[in-house]
Formats: sequence, C-alpha cells, structure tokens
Amino acid sequence: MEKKREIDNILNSLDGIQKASPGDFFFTRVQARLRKQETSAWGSITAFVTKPTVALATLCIIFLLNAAALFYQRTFSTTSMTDQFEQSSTDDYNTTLATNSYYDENTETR
Amino acid sequence: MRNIVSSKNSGVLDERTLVEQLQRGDENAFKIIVTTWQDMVYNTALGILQSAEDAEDVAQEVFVQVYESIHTFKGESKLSTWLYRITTSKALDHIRRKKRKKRFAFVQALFGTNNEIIIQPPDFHHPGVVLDNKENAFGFVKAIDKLPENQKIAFILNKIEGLNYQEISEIMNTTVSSVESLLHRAKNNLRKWLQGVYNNRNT
Repeated sequence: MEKKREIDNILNSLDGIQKASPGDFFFTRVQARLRKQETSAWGSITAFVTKPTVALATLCIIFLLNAAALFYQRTFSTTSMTDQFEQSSTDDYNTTLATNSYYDENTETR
Repeated sequence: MRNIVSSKNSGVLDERTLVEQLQRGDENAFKIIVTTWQDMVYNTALGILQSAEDAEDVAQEVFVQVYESIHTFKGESKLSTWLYRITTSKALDHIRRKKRKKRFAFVQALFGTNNEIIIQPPDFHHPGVVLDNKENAFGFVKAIDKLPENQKIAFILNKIEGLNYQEISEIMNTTVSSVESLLHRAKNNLRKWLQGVYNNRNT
C-alpha cells in the first residue's frame, strides 16, 4: 500500500510543471548562429571535402574508374584486332577466288 | 481556420501573414516567430534532452532551420505543429549524435589513442518543477529518459507540454489510437521501473 502510494506520488510529481525559458537575448544568439552558418558555408564544404573518409572514397572511385577504363580498352582492342584479322582473311580469300576464276576462264577459252 | 499570434513585438498578427512575411525574407517576422515560440521549443527540447546547454543548442538549431526552410512550409498544419516536429526530430538526432560520440570515445580509450577525459553530465533537475516535488521529479525524469524514443516523445508532449492526444498524433504523424497505446505503454514501463527502484531501496 505504502509502495503504491509512493510510486503514484512520483508519477504525479510533474503535475503543475512550469515552462522553462531559454534565457535572455535568445533571438540575438539565434541571429549570431545564422550569420555564422552563412559565412561558414564554404568552410563546411572544404571541411567535408578534406575529411579523410571522403578523400579516401574519392581516391577509390578514381582508381576504380581507371581500372574499368583500362579493362574496356584492352577488351576493345583485342576484339578489333580479331575483327581486322578476320576481315583481311576474307579479303585474301576473295582475291584468290577472283584470281582463280579469271585464270580458269582464260584457260577454258584457249 | 486562421491562427492568431500575439506577441510583445507584433500586437496581434495572423499566423499565415507571419509565414508569408518570413518567406519574403522579413527579419521582423522572424523575430516575432522566435520570441513567440522560443519557450515552447526550448521546453520541449529540455524535456527530451535533460540538459540546459543541449536544449539551448537544439532550440537555436530549430529556429535556424525554420529560417532556412520556411519556403517548404505549406501551411497544411499549424506553425506550432511544424515547430514541434522539427524540435523532436532535432532533439532525437542530438541524442543519437551524442551516443555515437560516446561510443567512439570509448573505442579510442580502449586503444589508448584518446586522452580526453569523458565528463559525465551533472544530475538534471527540471527548473519548472514545483519545489515540494523536486526529489520525486528527479527520479521520475531519470525514468522517462529510459523510455523508447516514441514513448518518450509522446509522454513528454502530453505530460510536460500538456498537449492532447489529437495534437500529439498530428506532431508524430500517427493516429490518436497509436498515441493512446504509446502513452499506455510508457506509463506501464515507468511504473515497472519505479517499482524496481522502490524494491532496491527497501531491501
């Protein structure tokens, strides 16, 4: 019974609580903070860019982009070389065919 | 419905007019908004953070955000509801940031890289508590701090700010029945915690 009464007292201890105030010249402090924030906009950008994690992440991205560019360049040059080889073989074959047919035609007419 | 704002600086002003003036960059409108709602914002932050310095810091942050993002306020809710929303979310962010810092300092201390002394905040006594209730309120406020975030916000808005369930549901973007349930669970948790404290003290 005593226990319940004491707990109820604690639970009701905030009844009639008054509002607290932030103290005098609060608006002046808000204004000062606003001005500080406006002037430090560039400062915060610089601070963000020079953060070790941001710098490291940027380096990683640059490295990955370079690696990807190298990889694509290599695969592209390999495929274009294969294409070139195939093209030249086909050309050779066609020339041979053409020569043969010309030769064959000439021998037949004789 | 239009809300009327009365302040020392403005006499009587319509809330929507005040917002429109601030959206046009009127410094005087901003001053009226700050002086009218500074106690409400500070008091809510103080209830959540339980530190006068942190509450002052968050209250300033709230008004800076109001100034910067007033153009996003569409007037669908009351200005005070919008202010309560910003205050609660900023206060919760502040708590999370502090916890993160504490954890980081602890890890640094483990590796011996941080020689900074961690200062424990002094015991918090709410300045608005009636003198006779000071001792009981001290334990009670400590218990409120242990509640889960949502229950804590609902309880503070109801008990310290004196808002009704409808107003709390608008601030927390939820239904009235959810607020009822949050407050019911909060009271149960507080009672359990206080019973534990009582039992420990009397054994």
